[in-house]
Amino acid sequence: MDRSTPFHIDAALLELFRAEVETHMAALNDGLLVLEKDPSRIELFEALMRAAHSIKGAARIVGVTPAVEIAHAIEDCFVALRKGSAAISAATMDVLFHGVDLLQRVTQIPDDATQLPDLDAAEIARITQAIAGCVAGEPAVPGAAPPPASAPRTDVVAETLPDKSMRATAPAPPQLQDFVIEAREHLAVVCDHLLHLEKSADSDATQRIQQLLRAVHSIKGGAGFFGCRAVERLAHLVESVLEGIERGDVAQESATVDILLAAMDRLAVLVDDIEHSDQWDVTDVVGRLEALLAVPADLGPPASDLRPPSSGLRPPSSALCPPPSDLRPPPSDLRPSTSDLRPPSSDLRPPTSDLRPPPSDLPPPPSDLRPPSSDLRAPASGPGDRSGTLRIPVGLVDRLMTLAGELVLVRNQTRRSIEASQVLPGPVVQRLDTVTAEFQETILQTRMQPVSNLFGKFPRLVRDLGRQLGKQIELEMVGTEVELDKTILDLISDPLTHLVRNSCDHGIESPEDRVRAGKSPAGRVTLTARHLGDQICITIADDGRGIDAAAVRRKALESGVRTADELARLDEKDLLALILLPGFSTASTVTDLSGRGVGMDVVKTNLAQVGGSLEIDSAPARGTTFTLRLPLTLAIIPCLLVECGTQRYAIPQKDLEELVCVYPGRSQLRIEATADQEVVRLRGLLLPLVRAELLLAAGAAEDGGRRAEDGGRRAEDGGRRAEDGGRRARRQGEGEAPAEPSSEHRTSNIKHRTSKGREGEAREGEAPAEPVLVAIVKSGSRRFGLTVDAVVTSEEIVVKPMHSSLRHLPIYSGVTILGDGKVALILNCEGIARHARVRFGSDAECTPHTAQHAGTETQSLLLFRPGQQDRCAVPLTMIRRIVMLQRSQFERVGERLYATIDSVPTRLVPMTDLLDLPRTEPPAVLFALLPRHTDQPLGFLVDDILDTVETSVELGPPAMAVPGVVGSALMDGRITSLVDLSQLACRVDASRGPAATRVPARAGARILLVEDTQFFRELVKGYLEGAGYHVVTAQQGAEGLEAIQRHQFDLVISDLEMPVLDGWGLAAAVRRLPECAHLPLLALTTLSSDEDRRRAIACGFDAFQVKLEREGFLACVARLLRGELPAPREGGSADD
Amino acid sequence: MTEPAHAACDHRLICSFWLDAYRFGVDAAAIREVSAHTACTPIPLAPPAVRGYVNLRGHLYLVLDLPSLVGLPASDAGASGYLIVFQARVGESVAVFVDRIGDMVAIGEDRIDRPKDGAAGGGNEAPSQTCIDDLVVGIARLDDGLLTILEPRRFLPAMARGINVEVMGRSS
Repeated sequence: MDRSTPFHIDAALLELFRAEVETHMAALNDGLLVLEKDPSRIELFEALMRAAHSIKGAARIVGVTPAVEIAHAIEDCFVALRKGSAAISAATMDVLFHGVDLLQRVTQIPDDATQLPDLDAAEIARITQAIAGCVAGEPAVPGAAPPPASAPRTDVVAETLPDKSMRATAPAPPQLQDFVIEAREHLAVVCDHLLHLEKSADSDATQRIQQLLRAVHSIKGGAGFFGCRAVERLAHLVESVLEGIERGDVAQESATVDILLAAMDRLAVLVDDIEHSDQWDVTDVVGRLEALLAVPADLGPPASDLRPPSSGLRPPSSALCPPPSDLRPPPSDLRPSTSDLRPPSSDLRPPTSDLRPPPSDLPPPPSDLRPPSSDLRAPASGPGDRSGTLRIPVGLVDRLMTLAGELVLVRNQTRRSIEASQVLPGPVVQRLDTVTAEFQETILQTRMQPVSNLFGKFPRLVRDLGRQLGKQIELEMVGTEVELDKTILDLISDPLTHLVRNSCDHGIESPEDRVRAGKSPAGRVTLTARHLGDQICITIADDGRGIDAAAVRRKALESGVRTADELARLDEKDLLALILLPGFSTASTVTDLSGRGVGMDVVKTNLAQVGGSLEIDSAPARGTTFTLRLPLTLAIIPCLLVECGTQRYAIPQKDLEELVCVYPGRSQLRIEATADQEVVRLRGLLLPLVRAELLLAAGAAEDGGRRAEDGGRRAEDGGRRAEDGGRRARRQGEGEAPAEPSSEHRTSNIKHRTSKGREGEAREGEAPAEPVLVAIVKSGSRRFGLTVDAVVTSEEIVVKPMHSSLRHLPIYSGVTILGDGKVALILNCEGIARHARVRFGSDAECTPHTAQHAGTETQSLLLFRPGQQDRCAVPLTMIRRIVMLQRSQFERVGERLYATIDSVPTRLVPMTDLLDLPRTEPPAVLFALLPRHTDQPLGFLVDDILDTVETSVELGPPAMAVPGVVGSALMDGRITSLVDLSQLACRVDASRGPAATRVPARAGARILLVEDTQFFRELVKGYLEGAGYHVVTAQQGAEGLEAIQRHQFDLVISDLEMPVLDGWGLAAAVRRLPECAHLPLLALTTLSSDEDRRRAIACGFDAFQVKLEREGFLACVARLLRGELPAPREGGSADD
Repeated sequence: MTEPAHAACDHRLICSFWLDAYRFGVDAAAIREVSAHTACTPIPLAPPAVRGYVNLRGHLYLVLDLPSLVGLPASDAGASGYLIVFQARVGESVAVFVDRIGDMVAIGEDRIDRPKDGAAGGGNEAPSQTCIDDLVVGIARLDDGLLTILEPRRFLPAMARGINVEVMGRSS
């Protein structure tokens, strides 16, 4: 052909062509790869042939002639392979791969193509000839492909090659076409019935068999009429077997159904290629069917008696039908006619085929393809039998969506102007409203498809898997009528298949194991789909062995994806979620797990793509449940519209957790700065904070001139952010009464205090100490705060993809047109977290005790003002509760002050009295700090609560020489006294002596205290020394171990979480020292769960104390020193 | 290379427009429509040569900052300018703001100098020769001055390359 012919193609058509080619090329490539590995997969030929055929058809339409030629050759080759007139060899495969590659190149047509890609005509000719050579049995690519294999190829199809002249065929007569269509319908029903039949308990088995018989009989009759002997013979045998079942001669069991299904599959293949059906090899299936009939030889008629009818009842077929060779034109004419004969079939995948088309918008769901039902159709054939369906290109539906969106805009504009002018009466506007809304909804519905389209393939899959694995598996499907967006449906097809396979393969045990475990031998896999708010929830539950959490833990440790420490903090769910990590499954040291995670990361990725999530629940021996959560649709999503700067942005509701308003000066909810990022403190959690106005500042800066290059801007962002933090802190400090304590602290952390503050200053002017709106958003399972200027409204928006040249911007997931015609960008929270380099703690959220600098332990301190000036701090762990009290609530009983808190009369002591601070007129509202460990209800009155800080402080000597003050530290540039509430409590109740006196202490005993937090080190040391012990301190485990090896100790008290060598490690190491086998070890920690307790004891600790109840602690020490080992449970929880 | 195929014609129909004091032009056939300046939504973090999105009857177009692409100082014409929307074959939904729309001019090939031909004639007038080389496909000598012919197909790629505007154009 003339390669320089100008080439004109409509852009939309070209798009269709590309999509079509892409789909089928993928099918071709994948199929060939499978075939190469496993040449026995003859069922693939069908799919491959169709793929090539589809490409050919598409290429013809757009006029890409070379592609037509190549695709035609490839198709012919598969036709020949399928019929067995050619065989697969390495050479054939090579040639085919060459052909597919060439086809790929030929079909690459650029957007602006004015002519076809320049191609070597000779090469095309060479390849097509080589492929044709394969068909003829002599594959050869001159100069390119390996030499032809002369030896007989893999003997896939046993039957000999039909004579070449036999391959020619006539266009099928119209009646034959009718027969094919009808036969296909029957076959579609048959499979379903057979699966039901397998469950022998089925009460209507007889009825089903009757329906099956009718269906098969019809096929047999038709085949007989048209002289399709192979089909007829197969159908006849199937009929006989079914009759056998009905009479009870043939066992109604899985093996039988297996064979019947195989026969049906083969029948389907024959029917699809009706003209050549006689050339197909059916001996294997026939053999199996006959064997079935032959087994109960004493009951049923002998097989030999059954067979004669196929040959004996009818005159020899040659008499009925003229020799085929006379009728059939050359094969090249044959293809078009076959394809015309069954247009829909190109999209109908045979059920056995593992080759599913990649998600594409083009192939319509098979269920819509079935021709209108005939009288013979069984009533139970499912929801797929809808007549009056129409195939519409998805592009058209998308266009309709866009138009619907525009209509909404027009409606809004109209409404505004109408409302302004009040010309039209309300009802008209309302009508316009409802119609538009309904219209949009209906358009959306066109994209929706029931999940049954997806679930439909699972009964067969599960059954086959069960047979293959030797397991009994029942599949239950619930909620198949739930509808999902087609795009999502396509995208989750693979993940779902994977999960179902997974459940069958790894979840369900073998029948023996199940019986041993006291379960019914048949495992059960349940697929459920249901609506959950604006989401669809699909669960795949099995009642199998469950996931061995310990094995996951072990494996995570082995493969190094998590450290022991991290694992210790994971809860069950997070632990199981580890199997979703890429590569987690590759190691197969744990047999229970091997394969469990294969491809699970892919599953997760696919789901994430559609905004879905995956959760795993598992109970050992009880089963595993995978829960998929998916949005209903991707086209319209509910969003929160927010304002940042002058622009509006949309935050998808699915990412939005809550909205909070941070008022300056409030201590419960506030913005703070850690070393390198701002955080928002929300109900005790520290969440990283991203300031949207800074992230998106570039937009606002636009009128200010050119924007800096991206990287530079990002650095600048950091600077601005820090700058802003400092300024805000200052502002807050000036604002409300309590100077925000962390402001100085924060300012000192700011590194880039440079000249970039121009915008910031402008903003400062317009927003003095305003409350800050923070949207708490999710990035995966983690949360962070995103400041916004204002919340506009929440709205359902129509998502449009970002411009393709901006897809690399991580912070957007799309763009939308708002009701007023303005454009809003849709924020992608996960991308924002990535872009702003938000650092999360190792836990799901950044909990206070993980928001720390590596290496040293920080602690949460409550900062307060006992009187007017001095600042004090106390570890939060020592406080049970803080109560705000009016002075009017006080009651004076003698010299003492009381207040009723939680209906308990509580004694109140002004902290100033205890600390010998100047007593001033207290404010009208005071705070009472209720300590954790007191015998009687007690509260310390302080004037004001300042803040809580997460810090590791350098503790200096006490600034006040008062008992109860442990030391002082510089916090935010001010001297702050650290107070020990236990000691103060003792002083309040002078009648009570120190606890240690109650349990006699062994005075002078040598105690090693290993503790990395200076505060606690000093505090505990003080307790111990106060009780008369001699104390040596070490800052971490390794140091402690060294001390133990050098000196003699009567008791070792150790923290658990420490740098270098932690407490567990220390205990284990100490127990390994022969001389220390009986050295008492006491764990003193903030960890308080039973698990921690068990673990500590397991590592060798004798007792476990939660920080820090002085009396209980000292009592425990005394007991340990006297050689009384408390029982593990007796360690004493801090809370009891 | 995607040299326009219609180079064979004697005359090229060029739509001229102005950025600041400079006259530019693009192949008239590449233009889908010209409309009055439309509100543009900036896209933070986008490459510097992106002005933002405009909504034109329900269709979103990406507006490129042409001055920055050709190395001119930022235009402050703002709302008084025009929006040129290009045909789909020029690139996916792309448009530019210009200060003024000029005449449609038919220019004979003989009056167009190819920049690569060494015909730097008029180069003095073009703002920053080095950076716009890529976009300029010719410089036409008209009776009333020069007109720099731009190839709009190269706008998007140039934007994506993120030509650093700070290096050029600006007198710093």
